[in-house]
Amino acid sequence: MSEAEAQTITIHNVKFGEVTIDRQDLLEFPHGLPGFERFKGFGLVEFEEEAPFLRLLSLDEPRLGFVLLNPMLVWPDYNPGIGKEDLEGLGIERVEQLAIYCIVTLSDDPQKVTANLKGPICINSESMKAKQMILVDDRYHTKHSILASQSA
Amino acid sequence: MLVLTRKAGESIVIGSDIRVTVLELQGRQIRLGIEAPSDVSVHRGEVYERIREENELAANADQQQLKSLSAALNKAR
Repeated sequence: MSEAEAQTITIHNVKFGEVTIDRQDLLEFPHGLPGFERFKGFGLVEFEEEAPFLRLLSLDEPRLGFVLLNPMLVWPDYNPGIGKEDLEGLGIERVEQLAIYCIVTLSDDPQKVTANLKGPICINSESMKAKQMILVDDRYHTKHSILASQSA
Repeated sequence: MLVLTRKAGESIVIGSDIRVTVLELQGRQIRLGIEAPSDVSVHRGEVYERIREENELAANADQQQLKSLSAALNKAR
């Protein structure tokens, strides 16, 4: 095995076919995600033509994948207030270790595309342990329109 | 479903490390106290369900939809 092969893994995905993922971009969700608890391993992948969105592709289920977005790009004031216990659960001690993404729900009509700010994906960017948090904060819900907030 | 009757101040224990205590009754509302290990997530049922439903809608995202969104977003900037 060459050095380059050791640092990547290749998965099969129904939409993208063979996808090569850097090992440093592999995430572990020890509890899965609500609705998909069985699937723990994912890869975080950027396709150039889909920027600023990223793909969260299951390593085990070729049909399972989510679209992620850094919420700060659209909502610079987003302040999810992740609890201390949740951060400890991910082994996060310093703010620099924390990466936050939100899951995007697509639609044929781009105006109807929404982001889930109520359930952000939090990642320990050093250990790559991840969890979908569920916020108590009533300012945030599961369907924030992306394009509407752009034109506002 | 296991159904148990409890009074205020009484609790139930789930497994060896989860305890749910009935703290107070106020009319139609009941206040519960939950003690659980930090790796056990505790959520209000309806909020958890909303997150689960949204995840199911968001899974299996279509490639073409994302390309057109990406184009529309970059145009809007």
